[in-house]
Amino acid sequence: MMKAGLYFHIPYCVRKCEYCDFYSISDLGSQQTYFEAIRKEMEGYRYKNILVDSVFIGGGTPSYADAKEVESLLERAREIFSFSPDTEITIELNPKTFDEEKLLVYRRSGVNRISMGLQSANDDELSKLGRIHTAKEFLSSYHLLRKNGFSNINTDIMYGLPDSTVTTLQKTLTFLKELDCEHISAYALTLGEDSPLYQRGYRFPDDDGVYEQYRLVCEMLSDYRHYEISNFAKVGTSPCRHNLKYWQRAPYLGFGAAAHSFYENCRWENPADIQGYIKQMERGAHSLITNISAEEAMWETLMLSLRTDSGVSFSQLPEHFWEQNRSLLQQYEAHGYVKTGETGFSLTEDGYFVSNSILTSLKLDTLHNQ
Amino acid sequence: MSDRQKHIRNFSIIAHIDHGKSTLADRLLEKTGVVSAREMEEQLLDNMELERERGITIKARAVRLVYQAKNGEEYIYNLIDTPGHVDFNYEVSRSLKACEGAILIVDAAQGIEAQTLANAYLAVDNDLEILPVINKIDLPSARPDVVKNEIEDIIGIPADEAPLISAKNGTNIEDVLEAIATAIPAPSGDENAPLKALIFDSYYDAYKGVIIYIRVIDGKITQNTTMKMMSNGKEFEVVELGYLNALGMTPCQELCAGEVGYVTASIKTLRDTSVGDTVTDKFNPAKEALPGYKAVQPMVFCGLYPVDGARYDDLKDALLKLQLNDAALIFEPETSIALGFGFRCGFLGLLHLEIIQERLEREFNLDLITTAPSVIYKITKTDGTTMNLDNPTNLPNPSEIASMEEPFVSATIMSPTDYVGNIMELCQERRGVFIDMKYLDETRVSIHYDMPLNEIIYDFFDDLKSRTKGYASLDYELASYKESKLVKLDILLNGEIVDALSFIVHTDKAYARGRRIAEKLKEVIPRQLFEIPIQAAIGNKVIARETVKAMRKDVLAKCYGGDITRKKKLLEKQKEGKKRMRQFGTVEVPQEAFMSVLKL
Repeated sequence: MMKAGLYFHIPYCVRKCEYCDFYSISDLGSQQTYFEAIRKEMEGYRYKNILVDSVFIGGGTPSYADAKEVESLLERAREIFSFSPDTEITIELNPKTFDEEKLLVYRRSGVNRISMGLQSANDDELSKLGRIHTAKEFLSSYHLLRKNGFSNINTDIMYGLPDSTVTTLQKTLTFLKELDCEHISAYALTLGEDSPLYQRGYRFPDDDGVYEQYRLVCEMLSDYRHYEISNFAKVGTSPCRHNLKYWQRAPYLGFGAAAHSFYENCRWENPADIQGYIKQMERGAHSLITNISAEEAMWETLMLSLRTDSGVSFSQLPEHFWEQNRSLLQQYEAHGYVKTGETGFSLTEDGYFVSNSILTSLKLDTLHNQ
Repeated sequence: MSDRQKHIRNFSIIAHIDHGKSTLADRLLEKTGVVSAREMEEQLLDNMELERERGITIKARAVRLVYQAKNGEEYIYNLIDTPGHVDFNYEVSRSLKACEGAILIVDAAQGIEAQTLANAYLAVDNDLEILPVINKIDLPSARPDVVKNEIEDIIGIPADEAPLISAKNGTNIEDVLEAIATAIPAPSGDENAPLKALIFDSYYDAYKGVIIYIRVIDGKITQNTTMKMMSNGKEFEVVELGYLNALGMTPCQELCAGEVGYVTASIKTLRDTSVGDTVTDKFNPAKEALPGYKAVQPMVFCGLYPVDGARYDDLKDALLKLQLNDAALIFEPETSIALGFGFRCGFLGLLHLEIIQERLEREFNLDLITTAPSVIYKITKTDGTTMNLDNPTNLPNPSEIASMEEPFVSATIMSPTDYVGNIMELCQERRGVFIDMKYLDETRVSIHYDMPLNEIIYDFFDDLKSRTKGYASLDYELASYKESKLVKLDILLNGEIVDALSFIVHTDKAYARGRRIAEKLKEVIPRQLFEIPIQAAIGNKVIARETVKAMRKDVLAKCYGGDITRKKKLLEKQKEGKKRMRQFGTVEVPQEAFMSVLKL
């Protein structure tokens, strides 16, 4: 029996945040058709005998959509796939988009993990980002989650924000630590070249400034395991099982607009917009499938594994890789970018933050001669 | 003189840069009707893309015009174009050898400039009749009478009758056309003598092979001629010959003494024809060749390397093709520890270098790295032997050097008097030795300096222009070698010498140059995983140091919803970018770094 994670993309948002360049819409008028299309997409996997042990309902803001739709989605998923008893089921929420009633529906449907965006504990930063909530409003939403028995909560924060300093970040981190959540995702703000945020005359920290903020995140979250570049799990709790699948090249099936899938060594991507996606489902067509060659798989292994603290093991890559890169890796180790263990190597916290340069410097001949 | 010859005029146009040479050429073409207004493209003779962009003529061209003179006779005018920049004096003299006369254009506002004079002297040296023409009379600042006097006083030729024109507006172009017939002598030469023709230009055509441009001096060449190159004895059957038109080539039956045209003969090997050679008839050969051209001496040298080492052979082919009609370009293979296999190339000057580099990149689609330019130094070793050094890397150990000499040029700078102070300051900074200063009139001077060539090749001309608001003009010629205190300055990245960046510099200048280069490299070398020390050193002594700080952030924070493809593409792009960098140990240096250092 093939094991896989499921991802559902719900591209509805109350309004678009200033920094976001993902596809989303605020008009919920299409949601019934949309959810129906997702259910139809799932039908293709009936009788495929797939065992599911993680589900991630992301967006967008899934909590903005009708909770009943989410419930029927999960019901249908359980019919089509076999669910392992301890399946991790995560839903993304934003403060002010849900009430107790919605939470009850989620719990009833088996949701056992929540991911909620804080981004910053400074209200002026939140308003610059175009978030719809204040820090205080986040807090009441958070308490509501706890009150309703959710014991596995992730909080998203961002650093490198407009006009931010180490001091403003410190405030966010202090606020965050008081929440004592099980999991934290901390992202460096990354903007598209033509992001409207650049037009507003804000001062953005330069690379050195962002690095300083990153170091502060690492230091203040030292009681969390920094298991992936942007992800921290409280010591004693587990990392996000679903997200780990991305880094470990484990199979996942993505449903909905813009959803990505990796299954049986193939990758595909659904149409990014709701209408395009719905039309494709109505036609019963499948997205274009790309078969991943052996060389590409090796490159993926390297670039994905090195995002995590498990790193890459000697057995995952051909012997000549180690011969070709030995002296480079030794230099990286001397500079504190790399940790070598008995079974392989991984990046340090400083190494994570320059991982693109490290990855592109490593020789992987079979791929790059193509 | 045959009747045919009586109606031929072979001439060039010479001028200081921007005095309107190409514009006048365009007008002559237009007025004689070889190009209709519709076909008229600005500066038709400058048909190399690069020439149009830079507004200068790099290579000689030739075109045949038919003119109906006022006396009712029909004349054939062969206009042989010449380059205008100081680097290309050699090519000017090449074109002049094919002519009996030259139109000397002088700007009515600026008057005589350094290259006006240099070109006029070249024409005199070649026994040409000079026809002065005063251009740009439409400018408010035009002062044609003052300029007439300048021509008479400074060059020493009568200018009273000089046509006053505006090439831009097409004013009085007829006067020039008439004056050509009356002032410039017809060619002489014996049509019945054995063939003697001068190759004054050539280029390679993918279909026809080498196309040579000739001026027939004696005899005639026909479609049945078996040509013989007098320098190497190679023989070729003529395939096609004809006249050069503005818009192409017109085949004809024969070219006789006094005429200008082209010849193709299925010549496949670039080296078989050389510009300056004499063509004769295999079955009726001339006794001796024409004097030809004196071999040109390149003055500036640098290494050219393909960014992609696999394109070494492509670079070699491209250099061979360019050399075909650019005898001033020389090259030989060399290797660099830093850059691998490439060529040491010799040029007339820095502009020539830049033009060749750009042509290689544009016309042959090559990515190149250029090493720091050098002149030829003469070295006397302690054991009494001497050597010529054109590559700083080959400088012997200082303990083996008894003395070093560097080339000096005799430089003439003409300028309005207002800038004399600035000019002298600049020349002094560049180690110039003042010779004299002459007043051309109340407002203009001619200043002479002896200058080390290695000071001139580093943006001296740009600096001169900026300090004189563009008014000064420069001309120079190699004068002599003088003993000098010179040292080799090395650039070290991460403690290792990058041989391609080493250069020879005067002791007094080493410190400032070293510091400027280190600062510049710090700007252009991107931050990398490790801190990169940049040092400038003379021997073991470090004279400047800068540091490129280690990179702190180069990460893709988020891969949303398992979108691996996007991340993969970004990394692939980054990896592609790295291919354009040169690796020195662990340091990656962008190609631009080498070019930017040349400009300091």
